[in-house]
Amino acid sequence: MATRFLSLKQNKMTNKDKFLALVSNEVTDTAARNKERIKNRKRLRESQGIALKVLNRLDELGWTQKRLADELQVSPQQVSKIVKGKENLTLETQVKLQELLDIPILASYYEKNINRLAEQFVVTIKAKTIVQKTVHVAKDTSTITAKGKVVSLKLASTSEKAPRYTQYDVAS
Amino acid sequence: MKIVTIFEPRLFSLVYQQEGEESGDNEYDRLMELWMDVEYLRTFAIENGVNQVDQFVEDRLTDAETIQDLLDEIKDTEKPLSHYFRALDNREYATTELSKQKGKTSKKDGLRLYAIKVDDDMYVITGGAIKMSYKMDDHPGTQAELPKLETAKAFLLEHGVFDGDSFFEFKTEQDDK
Repeated sequence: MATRFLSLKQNKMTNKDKFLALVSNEVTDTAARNKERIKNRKRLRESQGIALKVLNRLDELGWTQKRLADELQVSPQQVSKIVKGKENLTLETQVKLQELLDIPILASYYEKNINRLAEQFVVTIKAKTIVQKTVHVAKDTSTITAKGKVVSLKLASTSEKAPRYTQYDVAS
Repeated sequence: MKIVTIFEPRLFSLVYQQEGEESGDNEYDRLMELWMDVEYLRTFAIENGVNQVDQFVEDRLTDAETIQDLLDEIKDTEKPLSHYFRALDNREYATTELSKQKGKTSKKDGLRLYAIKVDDDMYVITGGAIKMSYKMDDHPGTQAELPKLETAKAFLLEHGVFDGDSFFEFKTEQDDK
């Protein structure tokens, strides 16, 4: 009786052992791919951010992905890859996208355009009404006239979502 | 239907092979690639009437990263998979055979992996979905996963699988073919 139970137990071990012995033949590379995703995370996040900006801008412009491909002089397959957000884009492609679509991808977008961004601003004056003024901004500080009063302003932030609008806080 | 090993001897996944295709990706990789596809997530959000599309996309990308980290940790530290998977039916007894399970990293996780629990710390992933409603039935994405769980369970039972040992026996035979 004891012998029979012993051989049953040996059978139990054998199935798992048999499996583990063969497992190297068909293990997926999932664990390795997973590690790769983690390793490339910072770069992937940048690619994803660019993809989202491109898709939003295409909608705004009413462009298809095919139109973008034509304008960029690349294949539609390449554009399809860009908008998935997994491509490791070359600097050249990033510059082309930035110039063509007028979207912030590189630091140069803000550095070059600090003057051009002076189109229309919403100025919030503490405890006062909101004033809209068109101003020219040479550097990051300027003055405007609001309700007959000259106030000085400091560049507080540029919103990524609406780069043409800059919120100013009153300096004093 | 084929079952492949993600990391032995604890996590496995189904591979649903399409007709005419040589081999498909396993469900974990297929879903992870989808959940990292910005265009897919954005279209999904728009089609489902999400208000803040950009935020939704960013949240799902973050959720995917959390799953990747957890899976990596579970593999390297032998942390039990029960940290991620729970019974689909809250009322289920712990000893239910081939229990249907859902995986989520936290209450905030907007993504789900679904699996059959074959034995203690042994799971076969059957699919996954973006969680859009409280009950699985209330959204087509999650609803579509229920028959996949049923089919997988039936498939396993059909092949004499009811616990870890019978699973290894079946798997060895499958791989031998």
